[in-house]
Amino acid sequence: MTTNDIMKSRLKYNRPSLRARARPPKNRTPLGEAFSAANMGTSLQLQCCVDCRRFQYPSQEVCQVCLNDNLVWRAAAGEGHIISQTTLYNSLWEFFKRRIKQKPWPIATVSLDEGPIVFAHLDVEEFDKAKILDVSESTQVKVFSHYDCSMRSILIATSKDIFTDTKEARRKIVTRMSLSEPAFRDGGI
Amino acid sequence: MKSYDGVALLSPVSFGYSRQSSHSAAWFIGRTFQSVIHGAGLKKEDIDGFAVTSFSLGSDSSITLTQQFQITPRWIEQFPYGGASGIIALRRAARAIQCGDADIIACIGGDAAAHRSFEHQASIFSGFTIDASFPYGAGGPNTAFSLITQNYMEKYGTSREDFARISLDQRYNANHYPAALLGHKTLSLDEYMNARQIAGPLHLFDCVMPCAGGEGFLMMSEDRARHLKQPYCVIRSAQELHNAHPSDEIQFRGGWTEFVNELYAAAQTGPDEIDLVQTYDDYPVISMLQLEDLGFCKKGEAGKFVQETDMRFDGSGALNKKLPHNTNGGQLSVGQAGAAGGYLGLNETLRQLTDTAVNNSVPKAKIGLISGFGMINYDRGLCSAAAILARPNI
Repeated sequence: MTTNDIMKSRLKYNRPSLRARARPPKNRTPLGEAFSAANMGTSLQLQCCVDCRRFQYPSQEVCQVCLNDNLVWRAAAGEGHIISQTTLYNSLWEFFKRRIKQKPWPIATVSLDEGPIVFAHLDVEEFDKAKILDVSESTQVKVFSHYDCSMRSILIATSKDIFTDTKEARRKIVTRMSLSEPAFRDGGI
Repeated sequence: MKSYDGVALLSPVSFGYSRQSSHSAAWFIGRTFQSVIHGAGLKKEDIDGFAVTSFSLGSDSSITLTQQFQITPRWIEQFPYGGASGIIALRRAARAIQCGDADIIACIGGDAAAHRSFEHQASIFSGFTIDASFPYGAGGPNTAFSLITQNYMEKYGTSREDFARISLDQRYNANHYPAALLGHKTLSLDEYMNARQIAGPLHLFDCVMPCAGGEGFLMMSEDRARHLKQPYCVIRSAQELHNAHPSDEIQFRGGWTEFVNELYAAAQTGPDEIDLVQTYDDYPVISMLQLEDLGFCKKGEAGKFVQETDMRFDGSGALNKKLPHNTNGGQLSVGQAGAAGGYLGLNETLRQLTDTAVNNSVPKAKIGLISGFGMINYDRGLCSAAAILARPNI
């Protein structure tokens, strides 16, 4: 076999769609990694400018207002309202492709009372239970962070009335949303 | 602002559109470059300004391409501004020509589309995207536009039937533009409405198809263009504004609102006198924002406007109000050749105003408006630009 053939066969068997386990995107910038680290085991930590006393997200090198680099991780309450929400029926990433095959994937942008606008996985089941069928603009939500099965911190938006103060409670929600396990494929490699 | 008088645009080229290609971006750029030069009857050595736009050049850039193509420009630029690159290239190059920094500038956009390259590009688009939007469902720009579309529909009561008007009329236009990748297919309202759901309110025919291709044109002084005996058009006015309205929670307008009056005033024209419009149309909602912000209708009324307006290039539709819009089918029907998509509307206008459009020419077109919208970063598009081009001496 020529090198070209070997490369071709490797490519063939190394496609994400053939893998036994697919996980959410792992790639982050160094600032994204810092966000993940700061959020391990806590409810929500966001970058905060010591000079402006202002939260910002996504994490950045300098404060968006004063451009100082006097930024620290501070606990945020995470309360806010939905700006817009949508359901994905298509994804570029194998993990979500497999999840979407089971059920379309709901996400939302949330405006936090603390300032930042965040993307979050939307915990629609809680709204179903609370009989809030029309999760739409201005629905009040609470955003918390948790690690997914790629060990990266992600944000979850759930109903404002749901208890999320303990690690166990948060883990339960993330597990129910099937973010804490890879998406498996029978007979994958 | 100083006018753009004395600058000519010519030799529009659209090259090599294909759904997937094993060629790299340098091939698309190089081949487009060649066609642009030959189209104007010039030689490679005559070019002393070189501007490039591409998402897929990798470690290469406009400067390393000068060595690959063996050119020696005294002015180079690179415009990584997605859908606004064409108009931004036009503005920068026009100034360089007016100031004598370069005599003949080639502006080329080109992008490759290798197997699974779109997935890769979407996953590393920007720092914000990597950290805070791609991990949430990895829908690429579909996700952000689904949220924007959902919000727009709720806010202004726009329906899918309204968005369909844009996709349908553009498909008709594409049926008359040979290079359009989807131009061989017709599109009916039923097909549009029953298409596969992609993200929230977005269905298949609301989304551009990523592809490979190249777009390019030349800029030089009017005197030189006349001397070369080439058909050309001139810039009546052009504007840009970036990261406009940063405090809007979600995008429902772009930077156009801030410069639209100045844009028309400098061009001594108004929306009623524009013969053809090319908006940046990766999704119908964004065309609607541009039609509103550029004064063709009021904010929130684009749905009504498109229901009343025939947007075919030849005005063959049933509606009385006519406005030829995205006259080659736009990206929705031609395909989105990466950042070269930002040159598509400009090149189409250039063809219309130099009588080089073949099957889709707009009768008696004298003034055209092009709008650019680029770089969907995190939750919104950051670049807005617009230009008004006209035939010389009218």
